[in-house]
Amino acid sequence: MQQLNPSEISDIIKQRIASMDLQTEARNEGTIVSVSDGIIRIHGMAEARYGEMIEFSAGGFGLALNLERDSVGAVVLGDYQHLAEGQTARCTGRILEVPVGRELVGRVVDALGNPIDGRGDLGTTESDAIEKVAPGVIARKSVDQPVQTGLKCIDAMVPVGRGQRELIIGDRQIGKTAIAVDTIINQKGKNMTCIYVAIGQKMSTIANVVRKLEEHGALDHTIVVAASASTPASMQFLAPYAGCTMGEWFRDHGEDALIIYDDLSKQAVAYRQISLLLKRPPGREAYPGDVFYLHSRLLERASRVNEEYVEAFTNGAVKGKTGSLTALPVIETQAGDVSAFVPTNVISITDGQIFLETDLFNSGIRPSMSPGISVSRVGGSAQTSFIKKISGGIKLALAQYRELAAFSQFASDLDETTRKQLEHGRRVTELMKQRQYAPMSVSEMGVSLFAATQGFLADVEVDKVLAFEAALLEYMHEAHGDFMKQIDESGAYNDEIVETMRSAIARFKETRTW
Amino acid sequence: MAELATLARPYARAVFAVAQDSGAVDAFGQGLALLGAAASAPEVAAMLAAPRPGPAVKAQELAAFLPEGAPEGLRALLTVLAENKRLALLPEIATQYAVARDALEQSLDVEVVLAQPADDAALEALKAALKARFKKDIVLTHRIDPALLGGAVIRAGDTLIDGSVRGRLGRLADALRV
Repeated sequence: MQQLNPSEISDIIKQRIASMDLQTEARNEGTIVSVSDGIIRIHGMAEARYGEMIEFSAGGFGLALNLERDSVGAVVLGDYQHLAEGQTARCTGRILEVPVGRELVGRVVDALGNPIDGRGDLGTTESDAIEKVAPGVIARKSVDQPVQTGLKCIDAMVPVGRGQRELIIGDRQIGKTAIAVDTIINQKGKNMTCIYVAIGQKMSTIANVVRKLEEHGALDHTIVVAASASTPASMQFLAPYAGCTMGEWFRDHGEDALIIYDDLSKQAVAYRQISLLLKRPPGREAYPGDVFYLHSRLLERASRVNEEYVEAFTNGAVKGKTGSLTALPVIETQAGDVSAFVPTNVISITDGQIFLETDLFNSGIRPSMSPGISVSRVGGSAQTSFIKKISGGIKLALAQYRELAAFSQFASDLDETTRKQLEHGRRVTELMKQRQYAPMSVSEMGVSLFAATQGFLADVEVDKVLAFEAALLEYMHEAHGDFMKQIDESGAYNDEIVETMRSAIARFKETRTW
Repeated sequence: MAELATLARPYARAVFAVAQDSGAVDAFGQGLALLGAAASAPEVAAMLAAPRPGPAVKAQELAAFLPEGAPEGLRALLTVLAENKRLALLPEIATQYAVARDALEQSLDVEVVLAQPADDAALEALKAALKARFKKDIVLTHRIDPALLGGAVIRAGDTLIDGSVRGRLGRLADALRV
């Protein structure tokens, strides 16, 4: 016996019928003249517009991407085995839309917004175009609120702000997705909706990510948009735009959202495939000429918008609140070559980059962020006062350490100052290591970094630094729980707070072991 | 492989220009329609595609379809097409010629498919409404298709106006499926 779908209740059906517009419509039609590799060539359809949704008489939709004199080249959104020469296709007059709204949170959807997590209908009531113009200059506001990734090396040295675009770039299997997932996990309770867009990855990898998010209670504030490697190139090309539209809904309603595109290199490859099949002329590395625009129009939509924009967008329903969409695009390099075409394109678009290096990864420094060449163009404006004041010496210590590292083999021949700098740098490098799925709060991070910059690690052995940190944080939560909570809430920094930390750490060193 | 329409366009433009210059647009149009229909026939198409006979013979074979008094320009067109091995484009050339002629005469070929037979008055009213919409003289052809259930489907070039009951039911089904 077939199950009754809740949407089949007669009242709901009656409402749908009543609200339907069954006016006679005039539409532009054409005939399919060729079907191959997911690309359809349609003869006629003279009024088709670029990026318009095309509906096929045999079912399914396509996207008009090539407007030629006598034909339209369209890419099929989904399966195309049922399409054949001679069938008709018609213009819909619409740009491709995806469902948007709060109902998407906690769900896994495909690039068209169809749920693929087996939990039934989304229940969304709104939809929005996947291609939209980014907010103009007047609508924007400067980035000055932090996104706490929970990772010491990032929040201390390359802080990310709400509305910023920060690129995560590195070779394969180096921890790019790990940084993204840890950031999502750390957004729990921070009024941030996360969107994780998986492009061209193995389904098993995506399933692992979803499982990890679920285990750490992070799926409740996350939307997952999945376009795996087995989906057509058109889905992999569209998935980032669909995710961006879903994130923009939150931005435009005065809320904060974080979107991770993992990864844009695969989107560029999918777009290259589509462009070459559409017979567009190949450029450098066989990418089409507009591969820069592919990424720039996507990443420009990540922004912070001001209160006036939100109020106008919500027709006065939301007042006095700004909205933001922060983007963390991921790019995979080959053998560390950041001067390749697509990586340089995206580096020039984003507001900073987090470089992950294989050598650091292999030597056990994980996250393997290279502090020398990683940068955040927003910088200190996106840090809480607490972290900003404390972490000032970290980057400098690491820079000095790197400069002197070549001399470390002559340790016994160095003067005292140089030796101390080396020792300090070693300890700070060790401190920057962090386990996966263990993001730190602002207070924990601050206390840890304070211990480093104020010289409390000088008499701790290098291989005991992380154990020291763990024991210190445990002590701080036990003995100074209220203080830690206060820091997490206010992020303030003053002499009293400094003195509290100094005396707490001193007491810890006197009375505890690690 | 280039679209047939793209290949046929220069020929269609050239023969239309010749027809205009000689003031025989209709005569050329009728001759081309005949040649296009002939070239579409399977046996003729097979003959045109075969390596033998040679181009001159193929042009002659096709010219035999032309009536007495057909413009000489059409025979010349056949010779040019045969030399360039483009005789198979004749149907497309005929189509594009017809479109160019309609544009010149500000007329539009419209096909109406009705669910039930309509009287002349209704067809005239429909013609008038279409003329008001497209702002061109309408050349109306119609046929009956009971499968539409009711209403009519109007096809004018690439534009399709679906006022049939079957079309509305289809849209209703799509909306309820979502």
